[in-house]
Amino acid sequence: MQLSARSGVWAAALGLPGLAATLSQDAHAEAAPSEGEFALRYTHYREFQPGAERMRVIVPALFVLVPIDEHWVVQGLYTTDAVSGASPLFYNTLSGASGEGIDDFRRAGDMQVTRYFERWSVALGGAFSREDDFDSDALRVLIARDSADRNQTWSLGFGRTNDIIDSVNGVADHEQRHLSDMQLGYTRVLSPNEILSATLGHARGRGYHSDPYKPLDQRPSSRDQRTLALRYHRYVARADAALRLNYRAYDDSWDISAHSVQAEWEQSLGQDWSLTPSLRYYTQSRAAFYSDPPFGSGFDPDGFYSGDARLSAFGAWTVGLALGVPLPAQWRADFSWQFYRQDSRWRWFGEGSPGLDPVSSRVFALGLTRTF
Amino acid sequence: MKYARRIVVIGLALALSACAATPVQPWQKRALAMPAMRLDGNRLHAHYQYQLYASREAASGGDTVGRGGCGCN
Repeated sequence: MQLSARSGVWAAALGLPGLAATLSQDAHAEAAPSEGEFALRYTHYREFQPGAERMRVIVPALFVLVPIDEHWVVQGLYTTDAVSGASPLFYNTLSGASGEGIDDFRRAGDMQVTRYFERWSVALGGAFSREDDFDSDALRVLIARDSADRNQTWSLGFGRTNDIIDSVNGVADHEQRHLSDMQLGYTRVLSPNEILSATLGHARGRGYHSDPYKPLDQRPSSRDQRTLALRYHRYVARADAALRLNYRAYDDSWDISAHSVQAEWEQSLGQDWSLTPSLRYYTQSRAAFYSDPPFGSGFDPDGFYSGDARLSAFGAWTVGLALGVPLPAQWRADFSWQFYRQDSRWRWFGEGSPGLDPVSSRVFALGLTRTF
Repeated sequence: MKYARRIVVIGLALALSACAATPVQPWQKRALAMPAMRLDGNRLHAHYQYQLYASREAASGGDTVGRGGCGCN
C-alpha cells in the first residue's frame, strides 16, 4: 500500500475513526489532527484565444495548519494574484479589443479555528480579499456531528459575505453586494475502501451584480443559487490507486443550470511517488438576460442585459496531470499541469451560444508540503 | 430553479441508500485514512481550482460557505 506510506495511516485510521469531512474546511467531527502542515504553492496561469494571448496570472500561496492541542486546531491561508494582459473578448471592456489591458493585484486570506469535541466539531472562520476596485469580507460557522459508529457525519454551515465594488472607471461607486449561504452535508463510509459525500447548498445574493466594465450591463439585484455536490472516493487495492469522482448540479434564479463531472486517478508509482491524471467536463445554459453578439443586440433600456460570455451557453473540458515526489525531512513536492478549453459547441443538453471564440488556458503549478 | 426539486430528491435518495451500507469497523479504515482518500485533499490546489472555475464559469459553490468574493467573478 504505497499510497499510504507518507503518513501513519494505521494511527490515523484507529485514532481518527470519524473520517467524514463533508465541508472542505475540515469541519469533521473527529479528534483534532495530530500533525501540522505547512504548504507553499506557486501557480502560473496563461489564457489565450485563437490568434491572441490574453491574461497571465501568477499566484503564490501559503497554507498552515497547526494543532494547538487535542481539541483545538488553527489553520490559515494567504495568497496573492498578479494579473496582467487582456481579458477575453466579450468578457469586459478591458479586453484586447478595447486597447486597454489589465494590471491588477489581489491579496486574499482565510483563517479558521476549530474546536473538537467527542463527536462534534465547531469551526469559526473568516476570509478577506483586497483589490483596487473590489473588497470582500466573509465569516462562516461550520458544525459537524458523527454517528455513534463514526461511519456517518452530518454537517451544517452558514456563511456571510459582504462585497464593496469601486470600479476604476467610476461606473460603480461604492456599490455593495451581500451573500448569505448555507450548506447541509452528509458523509458516509460505504465500505473499508469507499466513502461518499453529498452536500446541498443554497446561496442568496442581494445588491450590485452587474459588471461595471461591461457597457450596458444591467443584471438583477438578486441571485439565488442552489447546488448539489457529490463526492465518491474509492481505494483500488489491486492497482494501489485512489479513484476520486466529483459531480455538481447547479441552478440559479437567472435561469442558468450547470453540471460538472470530474474524475481523478492517483496512481502509486512506488517509493512514495505518485502520478494523477484528471479529467473534468462542465456545461451550462445561458442566463435569461444574456444576448448573443454582436454587442448591444437585444438591449432593452427598461430590462436586464448582459453580453458577458461567462453567462452564455457553453461546455468546457479540463485535462490535468500531477506528479507527487517525496523529499527528505517530511517534505513533499508536487508538479501539476492543466489545460482548460471553453467552447460553445461543447454544451450538453442543448445548443451553445453562437458567435463566441473558444477560450483556452493552461496552468503550471509547483507545490511543497511539509508535515510536522 | 427548474432543477432544484430534482436536486433535493437525488440528494435524499443517495443519503437514504447509503444508510443501507454495512457498518465499517475502525480497524478496517486504513485505506480511508490515506492522504489520497481525503475528501478535503490539497487545500491550496482546491483553493486555486475554485478561483479558476468561478472566474470563468457562471456556476460556483458546493464546497464550503463564507468563502469570500473576488473581483474576477
